[in-house]
Amino acid sequence: MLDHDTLARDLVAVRQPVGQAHGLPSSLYTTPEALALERQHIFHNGWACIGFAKDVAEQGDAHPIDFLGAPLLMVRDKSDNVTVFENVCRHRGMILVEQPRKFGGVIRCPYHSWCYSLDGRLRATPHVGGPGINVHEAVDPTTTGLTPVRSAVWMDMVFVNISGTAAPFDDWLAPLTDMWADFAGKPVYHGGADSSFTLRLNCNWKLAVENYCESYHLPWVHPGLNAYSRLEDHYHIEHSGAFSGQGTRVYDPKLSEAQSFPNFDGLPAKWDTSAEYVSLFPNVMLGIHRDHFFVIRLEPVSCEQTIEHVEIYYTSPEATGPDYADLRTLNAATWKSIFVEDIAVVEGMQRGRHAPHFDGGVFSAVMDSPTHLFHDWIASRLGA
Amino acid sequence: MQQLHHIDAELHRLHDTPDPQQHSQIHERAARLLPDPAEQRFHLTHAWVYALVHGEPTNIDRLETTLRQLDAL
Repeated sequence: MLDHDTLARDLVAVRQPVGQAHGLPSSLYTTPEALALERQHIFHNGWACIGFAKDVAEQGDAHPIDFLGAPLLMVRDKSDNVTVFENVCRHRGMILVEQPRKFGGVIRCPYHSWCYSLDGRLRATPHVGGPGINVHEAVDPTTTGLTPVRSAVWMDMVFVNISGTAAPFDDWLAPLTDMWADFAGKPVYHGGADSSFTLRLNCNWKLAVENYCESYHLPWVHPGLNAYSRLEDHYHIEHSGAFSGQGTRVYDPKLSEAQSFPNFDGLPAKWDTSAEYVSLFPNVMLGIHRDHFFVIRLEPVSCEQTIEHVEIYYTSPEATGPDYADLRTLNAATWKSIFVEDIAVVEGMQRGRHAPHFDGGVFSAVMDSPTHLFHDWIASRLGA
Repeated sequence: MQQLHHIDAELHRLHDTPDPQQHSQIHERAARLLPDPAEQRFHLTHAWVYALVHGEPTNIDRLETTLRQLDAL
């Protein structure tokens, strides 16, 4: 049970400077009411990632998505635009598309066969005026198309703002695109089936973000990673109100002695050895390197369950071809083993959130500031 | 009448199959067999919807022209 007065007091404590702050209260990790609150204030009122444009790779492809209970439909239309609609017929609210599929023509509602073109226009209302009469003055096709959801695509990720009230997408994303300006305009190419996997976590979605954005845990949880990328080789990445994470100055993966992925063209020398790992609030965790890019999209399933959708992208079509298949498989397996190492700690923290006297925890003012920045963002979005 | 029974049976058989082109063609055949304009409108409406689902512009245009002539669109 979420006590809103107590939550308000706790969130004030979260917003103190990192050295004095407490972490977010346990109720935000363990109660369905908290997820409902976050659904409105965080996921629907702001921008959030719902999927990937590669999932509607060809014209006519449609991909239904349950976004925290909101039925959405991602479509690639005949002009190659990726758009998002509410996945419901404007007539009786029937779900239109149950499974990913391709449409040669219109999208037909399975209930009364109202039809919509791929750009959302209402195309047919059979028998709406009686048997065999397919128009009626009460139903205006120009105002009865599919309900569009504000959306944008960046680096193949599809973002939506359900409420329609968030800042313009480019403005929202500008702090990150400015920081990663070296990669601006460089297309990314998904590695294919060998470059996709999911992990199911028994924890609240926020714990995945918190774990991802700090390097403090690396020597303890990822000893293999620490062998070449030590704690002191990392630096914090912090942009209040937008993202936080960490970078390394010694990126040198050596997946194979014989082969390496092609790099993005024209990168400054910094990226020869640097890589950066950023949690873009609320629900994407990104890793950028000179030779590949990955995204972890977090799908909150319940207040104590989250799915990580991992997608790995490369720098050229060549790197996604058969000549690099073994290397891609190895790269995916390497990242998967690292992400799997995190599961025990995020699930342990979730169980810890049921301790009756845990107060959100205290932070290391030096090592935990990226996590505190995320907590501060959550608290601000929840109205503190 | 025999032909209409046959068409009905075909439509039942196809009910759960995703072949809009075939659905459209069968409804058009039914419309041609029926003298009553109301029944024609009914079947041509279904032919039109399945043509839209199939996405064949020529057939769609032709059926829409016919439906307009029948005051169905």
